[in-house]
Amino acid sequence: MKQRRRMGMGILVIDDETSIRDVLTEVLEDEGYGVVTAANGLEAISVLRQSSEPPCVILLDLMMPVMTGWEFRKEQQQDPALAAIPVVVLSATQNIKKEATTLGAAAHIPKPINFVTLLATVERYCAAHP
Amino acid sequence: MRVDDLLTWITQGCLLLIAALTVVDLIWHRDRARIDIALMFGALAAIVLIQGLTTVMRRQVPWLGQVGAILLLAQPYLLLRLVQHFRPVPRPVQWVAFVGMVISWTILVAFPAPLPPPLALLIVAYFVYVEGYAAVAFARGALRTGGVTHHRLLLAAIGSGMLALVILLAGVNRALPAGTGITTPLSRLLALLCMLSYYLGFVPPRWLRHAWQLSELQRFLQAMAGRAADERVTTTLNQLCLTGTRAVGGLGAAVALCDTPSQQLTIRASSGLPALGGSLMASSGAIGRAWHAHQPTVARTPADFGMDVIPLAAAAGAAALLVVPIATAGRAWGLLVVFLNRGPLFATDDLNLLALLTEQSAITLDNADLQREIIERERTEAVRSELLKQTQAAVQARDQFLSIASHELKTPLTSLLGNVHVIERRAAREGGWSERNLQALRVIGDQAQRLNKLVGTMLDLSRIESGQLSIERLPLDLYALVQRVVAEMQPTLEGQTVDLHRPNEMIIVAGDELRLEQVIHNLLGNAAKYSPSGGAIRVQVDRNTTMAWLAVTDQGMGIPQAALPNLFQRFYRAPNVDYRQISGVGIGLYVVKEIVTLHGGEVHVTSTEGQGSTFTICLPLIDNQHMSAQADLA
Repeated sequence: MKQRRRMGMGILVIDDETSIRDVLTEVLEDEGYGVVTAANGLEAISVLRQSSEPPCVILLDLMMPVMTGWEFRKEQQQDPALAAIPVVVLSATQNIKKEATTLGAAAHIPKPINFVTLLATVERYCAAHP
Repeated sequence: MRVDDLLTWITQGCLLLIAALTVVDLIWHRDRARIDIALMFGALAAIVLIQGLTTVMRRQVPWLGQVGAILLLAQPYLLLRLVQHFRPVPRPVQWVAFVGMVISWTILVAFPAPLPPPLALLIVAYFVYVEGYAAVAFARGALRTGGVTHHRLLLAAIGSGMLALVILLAGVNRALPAGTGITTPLSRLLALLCMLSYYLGFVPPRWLRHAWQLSELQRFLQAMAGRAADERVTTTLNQLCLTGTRAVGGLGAAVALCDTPSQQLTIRASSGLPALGGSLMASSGAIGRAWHAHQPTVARTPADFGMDVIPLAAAAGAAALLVVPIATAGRAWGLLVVFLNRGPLFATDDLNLLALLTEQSAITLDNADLQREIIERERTEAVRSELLKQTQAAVQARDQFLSIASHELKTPLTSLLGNVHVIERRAAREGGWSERNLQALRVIGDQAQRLNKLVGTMLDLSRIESGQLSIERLPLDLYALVQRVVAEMQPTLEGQTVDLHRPNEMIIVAGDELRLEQVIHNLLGNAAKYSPSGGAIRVQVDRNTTMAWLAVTDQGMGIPQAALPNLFQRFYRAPNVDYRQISGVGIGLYVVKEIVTLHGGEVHVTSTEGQGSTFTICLPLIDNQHMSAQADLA
């Protein structure tokens, strides 16, 4: 297991639900990824700006208080340092595909999350990390 | 020609006319009052005819003269008989009339003309007394009645009074022959007036009757005018009783209306009667005839009243009844019953007038009914729209609840499934878990998945119900999708085999991948679920010129023919499904149909019970060329 651990910040999980953040952390850490979490877009922005190394992928919920996923995405795209980070949209909305396209997301995963799909998707963006 | 001759001729012509009309009237309507009227005027007319005959023959026929005199002397008695029709005549008066008539006849036969003055005066006295009595009786009768009868009785009173004066003048003539010069023209004038009054009183022309009726009707309508709509019915019924009673000089009147459900006549209003209540059966007598034949009816004897009215009539002291239906062309409302102490002299006029009043009342009742119906309908409409509003609000609240509840349920389920996933991976990686524990973990995972699906279905249902189920139509390879779903389902099958047929060409439809995946999943899931004893599941994807289609055929239990039309209704489950064996809530096919319909496609099913079913979905095709053109553009 240890040999699979990736270095750096790893994956940023943005979701207002503690239990979702917890389970994603558990699943992803179990696979050897480093995980940082944020409860809304604003928190995520400050986490990103404070860290020295950007995450390999951002898992983004859409409906959140304080700063929604859409607002976060706008903010992210306006910041040249952050704009290149791939974003995977996680949402229960039935129009997830359309939303993901509009947001220019790299991928989308509907809630409730199929973890096999999730891991496969994450691996696409984080496998290249040392 | 002398003026007084002219007066005499007019008088005699008038009399003949009256007699002829009364006889015709008697022929048309036979009743006792008409017999007496015809008898009286017939007798008087006979005298005129005898006189005329004598004049034409230019000689006296003694016995003819005697017959004429006898008929003349019978007139007071016959007049009194008429009075008896509408008010009781004391027995002494009856005797005076009868005895007077017999004595006069005797005198006439015993003493050849000219009569000695005292005897002549005796006859005159008899005449004047009875005529005067009749005149007063008619006048009193007139005062007690309204309407047509009032006018007719009044004219009869005037006529009788005039006749009494004529006879009195004849007596004066005999006693004082010197005054002839004045009395003769006067008596001729009075005789003319008498006959005119009798003419108008006993055989009034139609226009005059209508005029009299109208004035009474006007009074009736005025009494009702200006009443508020809600009290109009009560006012109408009370006024009908009052006006009806007065118009025909009755003791009182009652209105009985028909209760719609029980078809019983219930007394609703009355006037001039002891406290009334209860219902009438209208099974016999005048009441029965009036109700069932819709005919204004007169009953002159209690035996003819009808069973149910007899006690009422007895309480009112009535000896005769007038019964008139209250009806319009559309509806028979009930009856107006007027109680009389004597049979009416002019029954037809009385009935006609009452019919006019009841007709107006029936129209008022019709209008009130219509108004009530309109108000009722408006009220019902208001209640209905309020209920509809409440129902819509309730449905909306339910959908909202379902949606929120489903979202809320999804979060813990995601957490649960994620953790099961983590443990399963760890166990696979690190080992050390007993098979029993792993089995228990699988159960947790499977049941959480099942719960997850149910929540998803519930959410879909609420989306469909609130019209929020939306689909994104993007080009997709139908066969590839089917292949993926089949591959995912393979491990869950127990004894069933999937027989997937690849089409000859790529089939591209405009569809929502997630939603169509759900559709294929549901159809395959059903095929497996309802083939509990295994068998092949044939899955075929193909196209015709305009549509792509997917058919899923199983070899399962099949569906009864009668259940097929209901199959796509929500919560419906075919009756051959044993609920304890095969779980389900009856939503899957409903969701399938909704999703396919939103894609502009169709769902079809054919089935033979015991042999299996085939579900086919058709989806609009995207042309390959069109697709490649799009690809080029991109």
